[in-house]
Amino acid sequence: MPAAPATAPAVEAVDLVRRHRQGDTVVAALRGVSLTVAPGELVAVVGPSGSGKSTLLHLLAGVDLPDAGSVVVAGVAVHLLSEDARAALRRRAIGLVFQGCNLVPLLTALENVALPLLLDGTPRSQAQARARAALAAVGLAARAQHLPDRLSGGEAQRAAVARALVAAPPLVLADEPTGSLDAASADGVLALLRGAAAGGAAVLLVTHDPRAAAYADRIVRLADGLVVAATGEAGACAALAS
Amino acid sequence: MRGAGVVIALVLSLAVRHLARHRALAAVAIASLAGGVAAINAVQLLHASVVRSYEETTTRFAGRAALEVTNGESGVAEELVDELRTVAGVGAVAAAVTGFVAAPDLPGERLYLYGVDLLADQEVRDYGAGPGAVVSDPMVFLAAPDSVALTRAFMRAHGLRMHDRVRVRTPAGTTALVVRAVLDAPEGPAAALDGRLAIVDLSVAQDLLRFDGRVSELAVAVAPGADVDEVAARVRARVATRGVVEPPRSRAASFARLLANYRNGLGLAAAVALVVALHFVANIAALACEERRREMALLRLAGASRRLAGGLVAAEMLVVALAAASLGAPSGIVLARALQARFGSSVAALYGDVGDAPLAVAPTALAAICGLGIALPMLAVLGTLRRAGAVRPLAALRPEVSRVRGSERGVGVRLGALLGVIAVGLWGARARLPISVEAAGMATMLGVLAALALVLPALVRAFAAAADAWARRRGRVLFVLAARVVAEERRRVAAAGAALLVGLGGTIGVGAWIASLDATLHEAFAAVFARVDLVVSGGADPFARAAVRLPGAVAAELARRPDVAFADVLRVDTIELAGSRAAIVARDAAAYVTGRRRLAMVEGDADAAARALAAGTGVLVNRTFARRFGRRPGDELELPTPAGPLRVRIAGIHLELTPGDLGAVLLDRELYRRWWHDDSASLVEVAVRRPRDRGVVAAAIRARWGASHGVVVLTVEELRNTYRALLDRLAALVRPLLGVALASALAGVLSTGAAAMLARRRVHALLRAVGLTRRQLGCLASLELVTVGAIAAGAATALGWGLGWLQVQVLLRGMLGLSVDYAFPAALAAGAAAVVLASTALGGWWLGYRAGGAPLAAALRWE
Repeated sequence: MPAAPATAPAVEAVDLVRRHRQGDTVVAALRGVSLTVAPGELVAVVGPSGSGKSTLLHLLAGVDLPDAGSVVVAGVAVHLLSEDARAALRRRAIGLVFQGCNLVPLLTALENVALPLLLDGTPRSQAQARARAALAAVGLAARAQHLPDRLSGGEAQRAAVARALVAAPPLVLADEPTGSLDAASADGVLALLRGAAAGGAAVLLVTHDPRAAAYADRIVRLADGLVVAATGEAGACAALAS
Repeated sequence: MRGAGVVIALVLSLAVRHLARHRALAAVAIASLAGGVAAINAVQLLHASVVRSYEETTTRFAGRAALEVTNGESGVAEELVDELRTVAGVGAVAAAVTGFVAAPDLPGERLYLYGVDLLADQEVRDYGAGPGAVVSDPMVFLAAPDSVALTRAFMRAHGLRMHDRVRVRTPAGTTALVVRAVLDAPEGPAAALDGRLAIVDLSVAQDLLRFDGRVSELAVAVAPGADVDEVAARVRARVATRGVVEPPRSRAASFARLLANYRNGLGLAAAVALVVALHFVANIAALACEERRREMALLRLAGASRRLAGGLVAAEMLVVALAAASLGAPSGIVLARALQARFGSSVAALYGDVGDAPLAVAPTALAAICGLGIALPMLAVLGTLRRAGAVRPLAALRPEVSRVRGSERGVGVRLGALLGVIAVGLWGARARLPISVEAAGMATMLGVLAALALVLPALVRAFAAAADAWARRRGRVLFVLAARVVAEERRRVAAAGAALLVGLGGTIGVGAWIASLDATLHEAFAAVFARVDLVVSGGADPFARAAVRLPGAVAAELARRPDVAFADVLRVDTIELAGSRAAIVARDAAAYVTGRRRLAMVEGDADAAARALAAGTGVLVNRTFARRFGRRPGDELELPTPAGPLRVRIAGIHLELTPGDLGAVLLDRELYRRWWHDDSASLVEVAVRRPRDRGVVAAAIRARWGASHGVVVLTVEELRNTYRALLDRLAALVRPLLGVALASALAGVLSTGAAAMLARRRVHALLRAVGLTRRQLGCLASLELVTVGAIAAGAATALGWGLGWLQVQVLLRGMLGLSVDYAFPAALAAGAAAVVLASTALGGWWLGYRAGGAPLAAALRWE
């Protein structure tokens, strides 16, 4: 995969349109959304339920394809890639964190974190070493051999963040990562994402949580599939999020 | 009551909706259970139809006779007719000479030649009392030896009219008979055998069928007022060992007993199909229980009792069982119709020709089989129903991964091990048990099957653990995932694998029959037919229904031909012995004494045995005879013959190729000729004089006797193939039944895989979200199903080996009377395993790849 220039945005979405068919009716989830996230930036996407936040994240991750518009991640036009190429892009350039049930229940925490590397053909010893380091970075070194059902919700979500970061991707996408966590655990996860941004990754966070938005450099508010407001100031961010 | 009705309606409605949601799995379970029910039904129908047909035919021919005197196909002495007429209480005695003959001008058609003394026989039977009966001229009919009476149905079917000529191929050669009477009776012999009856005068039949001085049977009518039992006792005393005296219905019962082994063999194959089906039913029940824990918990929270929760699964199984039974019963009739011709020809080759038996569907038997099809699945899911009832509302509401509890696993393995030990012990102690070897063997086979099915989850767990450890060492994440999925879902994997195991094991087991027979036949033919080039028979190959005996004169002329080095006659007949039937095989013993032919001895000295045979003081028996009648070398035998009881000593046990489980006695042909008054030949073994070409000699023999006797000349290799085809016909009855089992097992594994794909949709979505490609998902699913296939194939190979060995012990040695050496069908086992592995690999890959095509965004949201 060609490396993106340092000044280029980590992700650039232009005029994204996505419609969903629900029975006989067609619902427009996104109606022309454009968004750019630069390396080292943490952007929070907020908005009411059904506003298109998760759809936007799915399009950026290459999990779904837009009906119109384009998505470029690390210089690669995601919407033009085949399904397998998009999967390969996710392994190497995109870290994903979801709200719950983030880990494969049959794999240990270590195996879950090493998963993107192993799927990409990284030698076992190297993958395990990097996964151990990622787990240690999120404070879970002692829980490496535990299965997900033996981890608390906060621990499982930190393991998911470790997995998202293990391949050092230029883009990290998180969909409601604190939605099912208590305040202390949520703060821990948000701090990790903030740290990832500080390390140079572009982080896009879809959230309902005002506290999560407070960690963002910039907030984008969606409503009815459109960007209705955006701000880059922390104070204004919190106000916008609330 | 109204409340109960509402609850039942609710439960049934939920059951039907759940089945509709899992329609692929439900369809496989219903189809395989229906297949099992159909197989059992077909075997029962075929057997019952043949027995009923035999019984009906016997009854129709018996007429007013209260007793019959018979002696297998050997018949009884003609002089008994006059003797029995003098017995007190006997009203009338009618003799008959019977046998099937081919009609060469009516292709594929056979007639039951029935020779009677028409004047004396009227006292016992009615022939043509119907409105359409015609006799051109009674005097001419009786006076002309070529007169025949045919049924109106037969004549209409072939466009025959009065005075037409009908050629028949008989042991006396091909003869033309003239139709001089038409039978048209709704009852009696004319209504039997679908009208394929040809009545001729007794002496004509004796001549055509080479029954000099003897008759096939005697029908005895009791005088008015006489006590049947007392008369029977007096008749038995008079007949003594010259034949068997029994009421006509007893003959049918004896015949049914004779067929029991054959039916049991087919029943075993049908049982395999049913066991496969029961695995699926247990599987779908377990799935229903696991997937509906939340639904049951909600119902429990809403006030439903434990019984109702169990009732949910029970209702579902009841719907499956009812659907399967109502589908399986008619399918069994269709299957029976498809196998009818093969079954008939196999019965004819093994036990004797009973004509074409129309299928007779008995409602009570059908209902019993439907009941079995409903009851067995319900029994198979009892454990699951108990688990369903034990679901705790709050625990079930938590979205935890279901796990097999240690105690359940332990109980299954212990029960399986115990069952296995009992099954093997049963076989070990068979000689000391009050059951037949066949019953012990079948119980052992089914016990081993069930034991393996019970311990399979433990095997799956061990296999998965080993695969997991290996994959972790190698860093193969897909292998690790597949191994963990298999370990996690071992109950489902075991259920699908067990079905495959039983189907595949059964197939390999049947393959072992064939492989063992192949190996044994190769060896036996080399021994028995050493130096023989050609085998000559009449009408058709020696094992076909259309075969007729050749006159002794043909054999004698064959032996005198300048291009023939020697021609040895073989005559195969049957007698009634100790309440059963035995085969009589007559050969020229001089050939053994001179060393021209050699005896393949199992027990005893060949030279001494040959001398005893030639002297007419001794006979040889085969293993089946020795076991069936409990006789050893040195024992004395009393054989009923038309000329009275023949006392001989058993000089040894030898290898005998006569098919069937009757047991065979080998004696000198001269002895047979003397006591049976019969010099005809079932077949003649010919050695060609060197350097003559055997093809040329075969052509010359055909040219000489082809038109007159319809001779069929086969090389020994062709005969071996014919013999093998006969045995293949037996296996061919089993193959469709096992094919149903194996195909539905494979389909079941795939449908189970499809259900698993659906259940793990969210996990797969997560994997895809972190970078798993569609192909990799295909590989993952392929690995999971291949694991099922590999476990099943490995266990099935072991099971097939064991089943094959037992089948050779129980069925081949018992049923066919062959001294069979066990041979494992390695190529078949490898091929079947490869098919299973390839099917599961491709099927799994396709399922995974297809699942990978589902919209990922939707799958990530899916719960």
